[in-house]
Amino acid sequence: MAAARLRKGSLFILFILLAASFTLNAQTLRVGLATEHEALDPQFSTTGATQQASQQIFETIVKRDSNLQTKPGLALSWKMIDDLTWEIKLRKGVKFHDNSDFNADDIVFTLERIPKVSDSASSYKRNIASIRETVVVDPYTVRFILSKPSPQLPIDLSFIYVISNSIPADATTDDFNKGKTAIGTGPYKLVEWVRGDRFVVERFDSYWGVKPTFEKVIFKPILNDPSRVAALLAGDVDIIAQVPPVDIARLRKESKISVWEKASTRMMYVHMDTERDVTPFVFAKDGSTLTKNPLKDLRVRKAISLAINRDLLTEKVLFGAGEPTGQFVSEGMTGYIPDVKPDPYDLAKAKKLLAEAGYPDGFSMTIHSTNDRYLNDDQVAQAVAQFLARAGIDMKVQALPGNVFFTQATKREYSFFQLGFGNTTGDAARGLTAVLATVDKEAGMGANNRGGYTNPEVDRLIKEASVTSDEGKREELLQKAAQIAIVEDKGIIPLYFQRNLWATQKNLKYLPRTDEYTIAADVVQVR
Amino acid sequence: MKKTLKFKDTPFGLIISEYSESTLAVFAFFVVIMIIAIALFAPALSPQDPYDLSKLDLLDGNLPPMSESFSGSIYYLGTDDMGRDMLSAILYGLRTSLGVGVTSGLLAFAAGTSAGLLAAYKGGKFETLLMRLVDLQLSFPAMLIALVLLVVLGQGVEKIIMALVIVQWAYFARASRGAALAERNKEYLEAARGLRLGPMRIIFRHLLPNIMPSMIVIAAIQIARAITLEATLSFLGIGLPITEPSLGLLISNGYRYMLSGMYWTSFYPGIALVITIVSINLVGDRLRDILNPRLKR
Amino acid sequence: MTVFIVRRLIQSILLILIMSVIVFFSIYAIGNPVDVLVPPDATQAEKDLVVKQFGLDRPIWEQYGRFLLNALKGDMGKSFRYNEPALKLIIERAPATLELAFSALLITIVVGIPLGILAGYRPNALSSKFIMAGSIFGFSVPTFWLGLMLIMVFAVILGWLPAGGRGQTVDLFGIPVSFLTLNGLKHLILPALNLAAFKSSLILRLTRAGVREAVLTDYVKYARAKGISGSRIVLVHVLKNIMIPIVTVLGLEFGRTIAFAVVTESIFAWPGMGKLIIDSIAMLDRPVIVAYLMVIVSMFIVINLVVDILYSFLDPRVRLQELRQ
Repeated sequence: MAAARLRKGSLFILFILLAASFTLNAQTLRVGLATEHEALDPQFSTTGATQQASQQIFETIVKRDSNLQTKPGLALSWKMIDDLTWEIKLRKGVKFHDNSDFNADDIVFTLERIPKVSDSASSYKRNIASIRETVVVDPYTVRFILSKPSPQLPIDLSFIYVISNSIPADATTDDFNKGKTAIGTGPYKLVEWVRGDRFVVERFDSYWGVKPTFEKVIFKPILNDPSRVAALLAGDVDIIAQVPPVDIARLRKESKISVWEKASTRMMYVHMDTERDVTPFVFAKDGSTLTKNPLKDLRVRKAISLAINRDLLTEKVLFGAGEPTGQFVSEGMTGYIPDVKPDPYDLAKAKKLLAEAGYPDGFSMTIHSTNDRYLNDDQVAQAVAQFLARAGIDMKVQALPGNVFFTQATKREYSFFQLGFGNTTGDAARGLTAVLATVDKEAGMGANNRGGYTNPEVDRLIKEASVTSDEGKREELLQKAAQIAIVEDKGIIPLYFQRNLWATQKNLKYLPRTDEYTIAADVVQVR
Repeated sequence: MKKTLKFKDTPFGLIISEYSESTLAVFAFFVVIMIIAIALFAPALSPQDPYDLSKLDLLDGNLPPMSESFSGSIYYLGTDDMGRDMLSAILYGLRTSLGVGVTSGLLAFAAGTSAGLLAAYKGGKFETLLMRLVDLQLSFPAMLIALVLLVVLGQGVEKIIMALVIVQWAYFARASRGAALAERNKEYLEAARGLRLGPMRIIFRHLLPNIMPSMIVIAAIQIARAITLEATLSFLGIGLPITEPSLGLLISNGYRYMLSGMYWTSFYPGIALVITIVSINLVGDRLRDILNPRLKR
Repeated sequence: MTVFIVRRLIQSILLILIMSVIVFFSIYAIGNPVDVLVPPDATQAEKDLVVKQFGLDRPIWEQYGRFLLNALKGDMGKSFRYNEPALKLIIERAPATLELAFSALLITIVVGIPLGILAGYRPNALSSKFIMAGSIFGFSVPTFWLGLMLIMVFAVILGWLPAGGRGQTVDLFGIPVSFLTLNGLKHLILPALNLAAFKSSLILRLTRAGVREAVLTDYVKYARAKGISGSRIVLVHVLKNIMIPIVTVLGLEFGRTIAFAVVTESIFAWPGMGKLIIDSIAMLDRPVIVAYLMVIVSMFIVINLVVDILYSFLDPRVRLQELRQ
């Protein structure tokens, strides 16, 4: 008897809950993401996932458009007064989510907190490293006094998410995560964040800019690729990020789905040990050790680049989600060389070059790659190996989890390995400095130069570019450095740029971005 | 004298005739034989060496079953993203899976049974300690232990075999000790002791053969478990490296294509895996039914 | 009794301590978390700073010592990745895993026990042969493969159920659960079935074995001779006798289900503890890995202890004296 009553009671509850679950209205946008942010503290971590969350609630001093070009944000304009002084004019009439006004004091507060954020593996400190002092000229004008000339300052400022000085100066990351201090000026304000489940924001009515279409946005982390696609097809979400390439063709055919795409800044490349005479994973075909390292021979490196059919690779292994390249950065970014095309596929020439270098029968080599970090990374490595096998090089493939791969690659335990570099700044300086400059810990050069490429001329050009404020001159220097290090010396062999892909229901439109962020305010209704 | 030959009590012929009563079990037995043969002769049976990269062609990638290749041969089970013939990949994968399963099963059998017999024979502190360890290990799920071990050991064929042996030895140790205890006071052992034979000789020449039947059953089941466990760990990405794909890894690789309609890259390796495990288990199950004296009709 | 419990507790603490040493040191050996955590274009100076921040520049013994001291105060360290207490991250994920495990257990009981009784009571009936063949299938098919097939059939081909994720949750006594909403229930069905398949076969076989043995005992034979109906014999006499081992095994299996949920959670993108540990291994988030293993091991120790004690109460034939050996 009691049991029966209990059952009736729970049925009733069930009914109410069911009814409640159907009241989601059309003004809600449901987003399926492939990642989840580590924190809601916009100053905690520079990872893409965390910035993607910050982008909804907060705004950066300088904004960047979908092509990563700088545009006014909270700063209306910026100009260099002299080599070491920049003046920023701030936007008036901007309100924080707690209705306090935005002004220069918030900028000072924001910059002061960044070094105080503790235990971050990827801190924003690097973005304010060149700023020695922040001077408030008037409530809507600030000046940054630099410790050394920094032509990249506007780009650095595009990473600084402005927080309100109404929150306690000692607010912790946890305070932000709980929502207490997650107060920004962005188009959306925080409703709640349940880690692993959902991140909900709602429209901020006093936003200074264009009001977003949707009243409420629910971000759901659906990390599993097939599940994310299935959720879109089932109508459980309205837009998904990072569409798995294998599904592009199928989604394009769906009449109720639209696909949005754009080349990303992530350049995938093959890195080689071009320094040591004896390298651990290159042998003669019979397995004996070679007295000299073939990868040190420019002809061999050229042959390798020519033996890789980048078009077939991107079409077959990435299902079109890659753009073949022969450069570090893509078109539109500083340092791009307009007349350099990807190396063409030319097996005969590759074989000829190998023979000229003294390896008519090839040699044997292992390619190392990650298997969990980039789009279809282990498959790409197998395909590259397949191409080189056709040129006569005996190839082995070793795909490892990123945690093992990066540790070993940094220790220089590999000879020939494939990885990627995200040009998040929108120019080639950071990448060239990290990957192709001679290793110099003191100067912060060559941090990712795991192949040991070195060329004094390239180092000189990179160094000069880092202190050159003249845009045109700087671009020229970076192009020259890239021309020598990549096109001529083949210090690395670029393969392709990953393509960013989104898919939405047909009635929605998304402005695809070069960075991987899914920005809710950029989703609009078509009808 | 009669007692020393426990085999005589349930003669080999009797086992076979009783086993044959179940057609399903007989069928399973032949399937197991066939699978072993396939695994042994995979290189000769495969239409293609799936791991000779120069033989593969990306242009043949992701073809559905029964497709014709560039050179005119037929891919009966389709190809994977690298243009690799799935049939060949499955035959080689079966070889790896079975190889890992049998090797680790046999090693665990050797280590576990030796430990169990020694414990039963010696008794005392050694037995207490060993059995405490066995009980402790068996109270944790094999999956969890293997997970920790692989986090610690890293990837590789020999690493996963090592992990599987460590996970499984305890089952053999407990079973062999149990079986040996039942034999401990039997006449033939007392006779052997009376003859002052060395303990090693008594254990391995006299005790071991007598408990062999029940141990074989356990070995069969443990090998099936080892194959499953390896496949699971490889699926999770912490088992075998991509260079030596087992069936589990093939399934894992094919999984990302499954929802897009390219079912063959994970479906067929899965079928091969399921057939293998089900047949081994059917054989093991039947043997257990026969050899379990408690349920004798 | 008290002596027994105290001894077991001391043993358990020792075990946890040994575990922590092994795990702590071995994860140290796999790779450097800093290489995974810092942005790919970080400079050496930035890397060094992170190393220092996390105390990774100290000797490993000192790191371990510090960890142990904090652990004694209930602080398992902060996640390298999230900068949140590792224990908190795990506890946040626990309800999802527990819900999944309980659902699987429920299915196991509802499916496994009745079928087991059926197969055990009439071992030679055709239906029993089918059940047994099915059960062999059930415990042979690898969980992950079964999961994939469930997704393929029910989510892709038929489109009846979602392919993964947890669905909508509502708070029940402050704990988020998903079985109370239709959407949540739909998400729960496949993973729960997946997790239950192996256990159901196991319980089925155990029940059948128990029933078969009980049917051969004298008192059942006597009851049969007296003309008592079959269902009464099974429900009253047989079931009573086999319940103890079944309950014991179910208890132990519950713990295993939680540990094994790692596989199911990975396939169905179920946001539980298992998913967290796999992600943390990938990111070398040592504090979380260590804390997870500590939590799971402690849970097992508690479950084993409770089962042993209950067992001794339920079945007087089993004395604790025996268990101690």
